[in-house]
Amino acid sequence: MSPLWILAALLYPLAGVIAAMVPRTPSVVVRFWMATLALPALAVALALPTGTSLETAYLLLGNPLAWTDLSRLFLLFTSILWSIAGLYACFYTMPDPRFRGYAACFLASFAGNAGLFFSTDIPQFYTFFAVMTFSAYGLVVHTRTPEAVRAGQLYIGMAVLGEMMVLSGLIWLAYSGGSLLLSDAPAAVAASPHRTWIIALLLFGFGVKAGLLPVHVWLPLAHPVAPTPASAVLSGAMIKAGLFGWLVFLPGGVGAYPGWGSLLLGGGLLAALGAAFAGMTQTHPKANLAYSSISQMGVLTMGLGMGLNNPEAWELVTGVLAFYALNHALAKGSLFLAVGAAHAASREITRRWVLVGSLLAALVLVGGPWTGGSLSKAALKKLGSHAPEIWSGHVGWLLAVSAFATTLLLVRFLFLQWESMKHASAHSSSQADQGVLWTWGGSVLICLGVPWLVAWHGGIPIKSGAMGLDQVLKAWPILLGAVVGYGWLRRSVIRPSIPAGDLGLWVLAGSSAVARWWVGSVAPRMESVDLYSDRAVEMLVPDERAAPTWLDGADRTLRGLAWAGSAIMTLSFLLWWSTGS
Amino acid sequence: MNLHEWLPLLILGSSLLTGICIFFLAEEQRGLRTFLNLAGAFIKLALVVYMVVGMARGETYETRFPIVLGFDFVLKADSLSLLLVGLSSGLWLLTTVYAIGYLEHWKNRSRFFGFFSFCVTASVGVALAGNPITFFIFYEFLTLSTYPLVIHRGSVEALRAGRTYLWYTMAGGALVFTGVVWLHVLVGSVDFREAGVLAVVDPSLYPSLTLIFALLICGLGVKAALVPLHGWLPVAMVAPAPVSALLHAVAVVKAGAFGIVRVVYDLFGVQFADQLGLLTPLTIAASITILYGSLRALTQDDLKKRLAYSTVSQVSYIALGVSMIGATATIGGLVHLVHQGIMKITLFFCAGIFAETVHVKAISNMNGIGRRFPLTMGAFTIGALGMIGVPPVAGFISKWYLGLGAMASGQPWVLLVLLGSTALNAGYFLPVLYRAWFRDPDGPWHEEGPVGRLEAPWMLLVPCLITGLLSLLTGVFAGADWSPLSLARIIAMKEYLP
Repeated sequence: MSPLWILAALLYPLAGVIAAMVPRTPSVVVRFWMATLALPALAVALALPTGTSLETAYLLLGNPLAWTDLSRLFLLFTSILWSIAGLYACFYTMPDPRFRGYAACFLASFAGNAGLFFSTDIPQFYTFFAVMTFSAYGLVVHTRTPEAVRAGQLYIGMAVLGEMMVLSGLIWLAYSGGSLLLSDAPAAVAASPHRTWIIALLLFGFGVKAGLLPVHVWLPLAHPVAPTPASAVLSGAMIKAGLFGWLVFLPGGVGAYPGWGSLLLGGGLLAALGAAFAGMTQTHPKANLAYSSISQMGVLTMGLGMGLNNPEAWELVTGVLAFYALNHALAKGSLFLAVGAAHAASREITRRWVLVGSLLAALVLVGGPWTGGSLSKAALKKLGSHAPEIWSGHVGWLLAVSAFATTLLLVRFLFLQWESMKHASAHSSSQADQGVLWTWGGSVLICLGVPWLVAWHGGIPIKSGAMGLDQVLKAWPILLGAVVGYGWLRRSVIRPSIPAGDLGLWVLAGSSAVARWWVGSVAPRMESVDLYSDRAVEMLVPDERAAPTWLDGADRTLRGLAWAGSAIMTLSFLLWWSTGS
Repeated sequence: MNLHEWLPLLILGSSLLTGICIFFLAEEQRGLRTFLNLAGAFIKLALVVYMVVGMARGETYETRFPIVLGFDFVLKADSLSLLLVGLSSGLWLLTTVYAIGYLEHWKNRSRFFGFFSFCVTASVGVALAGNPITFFIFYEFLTLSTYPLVIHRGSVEALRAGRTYLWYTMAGGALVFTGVVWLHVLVGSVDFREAGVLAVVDPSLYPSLTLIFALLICGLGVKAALVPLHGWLPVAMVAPAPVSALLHAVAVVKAGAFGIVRVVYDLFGVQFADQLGLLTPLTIAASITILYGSLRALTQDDLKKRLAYSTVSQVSYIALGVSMIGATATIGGLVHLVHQGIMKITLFFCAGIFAETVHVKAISNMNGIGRRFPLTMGAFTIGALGMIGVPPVAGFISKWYLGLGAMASGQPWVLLVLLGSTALNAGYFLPVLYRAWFRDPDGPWHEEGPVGRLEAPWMLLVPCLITGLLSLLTGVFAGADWSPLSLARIIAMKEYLP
């Protein structure tokens, strides 16, 4: 397979952006493009050997596009999820008159998302990251409702904040290391005297995307308002771009950072449990899932902490985290798509199927027996020995608690799903609804099967007995969670409840207060400062008619003394002439 | 005299003669005027391309003859002048096309295009000037030739703006003149040269040189709109759109910024200026300007005024890059000379299209304008994202090098300035994009005439799309040999490795 396929994988969606924006392109072409957007990338992920590189000396700062084993795994699940979501969107947006705008943003976001995995230098990486982030804004505000606009404000504000942190971290890192190559980055961070700052900037900068506490605030507002396939990729794929940034840049393999390790373990645990609790109290299924993503990213953050603590384990940790990310991406994508499927299901029997499918995807997410989730949870648990000393004995049971909390959250999700279907009026099933349902059904099968395929292909070691009956017993936190959840979370409103967006609501209120203060109090004063300069000119030259009169007077006096002037001139000349000769 | 000595003069002459001829045309000789305009622009571009190719082969081009008082008149092509000559002659062609389309129904078009050609002559002269006095001549010529363009509308507001403009720039010119003459008195006739010419003077002259530097920078800072000398720029945006476009992108503000580059690099030499302790004040002034301009831009509702304040901020990136020691910062500053030009001209072209075709001048009236003008707004979006520094648009390349240069010069606080500017740029450009793309129009547009097959007259649309595309391509293909970045790298190498 030629390395040019890398270019094809990126140019195909980009060409689609242009096609979607040209009004004359037939809708069917745009839809086809959206449904197939990730196929070249998927082909690359499956067939192009890692290490292949494509010389692109003319692009940006001149480094090639290439890829590694780690990026392969990321590209694999990213392109699978985008393919499903693209196909889904193709049906989902059928009644939508603005679907071209949606398609353009969708395709562009994918190009950015996929490009990350081929980047070999910092500017490329940052470029793709930015393309993804800014294009996704269009997805968040697509419906144009007041809620979407508000969520969009928070999204873009946090995104700009994140970009700034990432950029400054990357500039600092590039300066310290004297190299732009990603492969030199971790060592450069480790060797920098300002290591702590760089790590903090990158951690929180990418953390905005990855839903890290406390910069996670945009997720619970943005996911419910975005069109369903967009929520799926935001929460499944793009959130992992933040994780990928961490894995690429953080110096886990180069040194031991027990301080960062403990901090991330603590922060991750807080996110895992706190977000799960916040999610349980939600009334919108997609807000519930958004909190679930924050919670799951918290678990991944804990894993990252273990890697930062022990350099020998870093390679193992990145592998496990990538697999965990794959599993979460596919399961979470499927769960988000299930929300749309619930709306599309018109008959009673279909609704039951939707509930069953949602249950299966939820099991994959939480790590139920015989699912990919159980593989990734087990692998993560084994990493516990690499955690900083005060944590190492506790990782196992903490993960069990987190699984329990996640189960509660997902029980709540299933309940909300059921509620929304129960109250939906029966309607005739359109072609779009059929497409949505079938695509979603496929996504459930994929999230059940693909993790196993990847694991068998060496993605992760599978313990013998992973298919054994005792797996059911090992899943006791889930069973317990299911029982407790069924008893507790069936009410439509849970108290005390946390409003979707939690701290983000304060951020929004605070920033609009600052904006009002600026427009009302500061800007007018600055305006008047600039007016002074205008007035200064006025004072210097009041007006042509009001030219200084004393000059006129002086002039008149001189005119009157014309004879004196001539006399002085003559005298001077005579003097000069006499001295000269 | 052979071609090598004539070529710089010919490049100037191509637009000077065009201008003179146009003055003699009657108002209704539209076809001939258009022909002359375009012929002049094409000839200039061809000559510049010829010169660039020659220079790539190692040829040198220099015109030199004595004028009064021991001053030489010198036009010389070096890598640095290529940046501005290339930018001016390329964008002049596009702006000419745009202006012909824009001024379709205006009065006094011969006067306009005459001065328009003079203005470009002056700006190319500024670029090619080989010594301070020649530079000064064209610098003042630029002031005088742009004044009639600024007041072209003839309204009370335009006349007031013109007066402010004239007072600011004349005062600045006087400062520059004082500096140039003083320098001549001190060290005699000097030419601009890479890595500077003043490092060899007697140390007893250092205090005088410091004052001369201050005079020159203050004088140039007026045109480069360094705060607090920027007052004329937001006022001057009453000029017709093509004039604003030219003013903000290649002519006036660029002449100021370019002058600062010349003074720091080719007169004093960056190492010597640093040794005299002159660079840090410039860094601070540029930083203040960058933040102040952006802060002011935040609350402007008039699109052109917002863009004007944005120029105040963005042009100082150039001064910022120049004022920091190290090749990386130099590259950032120099490449922004070109990048800011193409991005800003795109934005002004767009603003002109909105104002001319549907009378939209205020940002609050731009709701849903992306639907009426998808292509124009697409170009605007590229320009605006570039200004923020979003990759892969050209502005990112500038910002990347400036940020890295700030670290390399040991002034990490400058990075904070750049980040602040990024946030502010996002703060005043993103809401415009939001309105244009994601809001519904408030009502039907007040169309100036019947809407054709294209969203705007092609003469307005095509230049705008070309510059928009260029803003993107110079960023995406920054690594290519012909990119502004590559040229800026070459110049920076010469400055630091003489």
